[in-house]
Amino acid sequence: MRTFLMALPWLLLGSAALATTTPTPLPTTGVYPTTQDHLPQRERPISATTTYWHVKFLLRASNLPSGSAVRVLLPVSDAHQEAQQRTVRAPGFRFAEEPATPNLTGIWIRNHEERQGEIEAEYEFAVSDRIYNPPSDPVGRLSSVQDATRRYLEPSALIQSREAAIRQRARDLIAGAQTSDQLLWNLFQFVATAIRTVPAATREDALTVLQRERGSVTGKARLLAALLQASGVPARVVGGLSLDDATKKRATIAWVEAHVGGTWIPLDPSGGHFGWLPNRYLALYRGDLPLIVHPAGASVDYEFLVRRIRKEGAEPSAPARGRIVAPPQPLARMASAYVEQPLATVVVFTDQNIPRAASERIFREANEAQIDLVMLSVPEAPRYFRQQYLQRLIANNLPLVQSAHVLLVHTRDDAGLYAGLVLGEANIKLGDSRVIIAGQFPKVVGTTLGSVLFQLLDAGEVALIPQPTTWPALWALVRANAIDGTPIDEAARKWGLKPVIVDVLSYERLGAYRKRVIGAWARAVTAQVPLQALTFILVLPVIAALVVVIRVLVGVETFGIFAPVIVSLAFLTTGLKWGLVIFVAIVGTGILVRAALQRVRLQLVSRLAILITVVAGIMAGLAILGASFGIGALLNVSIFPMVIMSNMIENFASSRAQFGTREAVRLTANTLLLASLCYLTVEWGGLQSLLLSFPELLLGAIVIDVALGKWRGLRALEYKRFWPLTSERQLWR
Amino acid sequence: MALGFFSRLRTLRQDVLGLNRRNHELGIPLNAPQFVALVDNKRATKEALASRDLPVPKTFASLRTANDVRSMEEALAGRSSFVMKPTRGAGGEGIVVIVDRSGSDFIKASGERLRWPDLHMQATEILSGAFAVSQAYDEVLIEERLEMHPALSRFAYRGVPDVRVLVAHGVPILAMMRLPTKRSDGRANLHLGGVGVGLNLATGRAVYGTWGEHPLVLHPDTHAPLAELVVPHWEAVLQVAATCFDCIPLGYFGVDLVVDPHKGPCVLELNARPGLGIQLANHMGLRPILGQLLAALPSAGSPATDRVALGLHVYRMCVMARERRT
Repeated sequence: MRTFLMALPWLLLGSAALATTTPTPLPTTGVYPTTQDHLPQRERPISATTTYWHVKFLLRASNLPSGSAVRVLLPVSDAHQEAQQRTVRAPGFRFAEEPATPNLTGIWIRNHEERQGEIEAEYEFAVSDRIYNPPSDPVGRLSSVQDATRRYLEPSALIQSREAAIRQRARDLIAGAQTSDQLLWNLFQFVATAIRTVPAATREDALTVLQRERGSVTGKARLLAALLQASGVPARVVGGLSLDDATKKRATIAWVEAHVGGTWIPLDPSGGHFGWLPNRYLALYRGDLPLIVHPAGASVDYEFLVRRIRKEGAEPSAPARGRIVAPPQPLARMASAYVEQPLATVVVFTDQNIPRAASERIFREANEAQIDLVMLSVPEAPRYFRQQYLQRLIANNLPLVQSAHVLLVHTRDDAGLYAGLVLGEANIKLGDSRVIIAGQFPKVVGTTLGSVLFQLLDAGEVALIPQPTTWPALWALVRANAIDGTPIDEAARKWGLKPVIVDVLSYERLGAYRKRVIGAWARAVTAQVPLQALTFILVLPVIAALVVVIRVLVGVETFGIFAPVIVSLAFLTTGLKWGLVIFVAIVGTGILVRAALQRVRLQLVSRLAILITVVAGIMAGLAILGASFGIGALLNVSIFPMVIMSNMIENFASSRAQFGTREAVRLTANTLLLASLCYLTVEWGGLQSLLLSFPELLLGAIVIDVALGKWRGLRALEYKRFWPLTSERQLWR
Repeated sequence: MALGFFSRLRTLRQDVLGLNRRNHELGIPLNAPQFVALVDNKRATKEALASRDLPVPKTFASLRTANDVRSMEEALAGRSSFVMKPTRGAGGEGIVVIVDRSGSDFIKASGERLRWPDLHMQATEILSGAFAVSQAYDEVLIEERLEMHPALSRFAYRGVPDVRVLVAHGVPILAMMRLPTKRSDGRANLHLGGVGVGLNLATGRAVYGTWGEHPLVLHPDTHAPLAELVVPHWEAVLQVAATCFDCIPLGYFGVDLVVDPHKGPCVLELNARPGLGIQLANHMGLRPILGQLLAALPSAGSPATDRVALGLHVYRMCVMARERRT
């Protein structure tokens, strides 16, 4: 939200300026790699190696009015290149980042009267060779392009893939190609060898390059992209930097990525790299975009200073003050603001929606208090997903977490406690940083799991706020702590919050048994045992006890005891809504198939085997559906117990034959009802973290099992069934 | 005078036997597992009962392998009516009743016609365990079809009604008649929509009728007044039920019998986990009866006749106590 507001002045100024002057186009003058006339057939290194680079981006702007913004496309980490450190220095500017998938835009807003300014962004990169083997699918298969990549088939002013000349040439070139890799090779070979590489002063479009049979590096990339698009292959131009030791350069290079078989295959016609992204290429942005956009009237000068470094120097050092934010995942949102000379860095992870007014205020106050602030949030989802998203988000941003003075994890329930433990898995030590975890969980649970976290992180202090809080309150205590060093305890009390402070003292106060439990879990986390799996194991007996309670006291009949227990466990990972959808989809289809099998008359074992096959098919289908439509819950379909589901279908069929359809539906509905009830009990009761904190509660489950095993009273439903028996009716004789 | 809510609740808690208590006090302690397994197998049950000359339907054939199935035709030569059933079946599933033959066709009770391949298929299906309780392999039992007693014919729709006698510690304590209806598709199972008619243990006359949970006066399909139902050969029925205990010493079981006009009462099967619906059918809870019985348990080895007498005594006391109360 804040980033949007920051971008607003630019939008107002910039759009007015666009009408008169176009933003500075991508300047492509300079030194280009020499042209090779004949390319060796698909020459590529046998194994990938990694190089390390220090890259400094320097931008000098003049005539920049206060409030206007300079936007620069910043490199992001991916499989090919990894930003290991980043430092941004820009006196007189406010800095913010805005993801524009697949790119990341850095926005510098001038907040100084002086119209001259300098921006510096320093990176340390590890860059590895990436080698791709283009799939050799039959060419006909290329026609199915997914929606997500469809936009990479659209022509643009400079990539005129719908022009007749380009289409004709593409047709000629791929005439003999049977498979997709031959197609790529034919187009690539043509652009790489038949088009001479010459420097150009102006921007060249694909058509011109084709007609003149010569073009700049970027022009050739545009031509290859146009030919690929004309052949039905989604393609995009990539802007990047060729890394050479101790150079100072303005020139960027460009290559092409073609989307084939689900991956982007790099094709560099000027450098002669086919399916190979060399470890000396740094990708800056995807798409035919200007590197820098600034208001008209201002003048901008920039350069890249490149230096090769040794590996040791590039390893992330402990108190790195780099501001590296991993490219946000599709579901996560990021807001950040940086100041010139930060007094403190605050990193916030949350699954909460931050009200706009609150976030604006928080970012303004952070700016005034000279605090670097990064807020990462995941969307609303069932607990298991929120926790997984948070964990991934934290794991992807470890350097950021390490640079934080205050780390705040604010979740609706106990998901934050678990997610925080991922830091322990990564063996991160936080030195004297403070960790605040806010959410709704019992205080005692907080003390135990907080102690596990404290043990793992070596943090200065772990503060837990086990009650619902508001953003202003949380922010106030974070700010007071970060700036004035006010103890969290004291700051929190001002807001009527009762935090639980976990430190060496509070740990010492715990009983010997509790310390053992904490030590055990801490060891488990260090050994990469996922605590979530451990929790499921601990929750299982409690669900089983609950099923016993309902069967013995209420008298609800189900298909056995295992089915509701296991199904409710599956619900914990998919959430109730999608869990029910999956269940109904599997059992419903299974029942139809089973009814069809009845006519074929097979033996029981073959029938069960067929049912397992059908269930497997449905589950795979649901997973693919989930992947295609981005429904996370469906991806967890594999947790649904296949054998139990198959058995349930068979049970349905046999009870239908014995007792009729109504009875069979009733039993299925009961099973589902009981599973949902168990799920809700675990979810609402916060049983997962409770059991992890107090595994001894399982003894209580055994006590319940024993007591109910001896219970002889009537079941609730039996009261209803036998109620007519107590009516005052005379016997006939 | 209508009973108050709380006094009805008290009656319910004191009189009615629930599943929890049945399992704890009767099923688990009184029934040895090997005999429970025995009564789950209809063929073994019949053999055990026949050893004491108890009347059971005559076995025509018992098929255990695919070879046996192929030789089925010889076993059935000259039989115009028979019943084919799974040995370990439950709930009446998988049972085929053939009432007549015409040429190469077999005529089912419903009028449907079958041929040899259909019977072979059914037998193979049964062998594969399709109807068995525990999904194991199974055996096919082909036996004599019992006939309906003329005195009962107006109380049944399609199928044959059977008598369920509850036997605890060898003493018959409560009985009911199960009548097939249209809704139960000719089967007598109460779950499936059969009518339960409580019987006076002393006389074999109907005392009460239920369909599902509701009281019933007329048979839903034949409209015969249930109050006129009398089970013929009642003394013999009780005698047979009590003697079953001497062959298979289960402490608590239900006997299902059919009264054949020629052979008299015949045992169809024993059930080690008899349902609780018999209480509704008799409009009477089981706990007072069981309590009286425990106070006067029969001595070990006492003859069946004595145990029947004891059962009648306990039953009469409970009925009297019940009448005094209301």
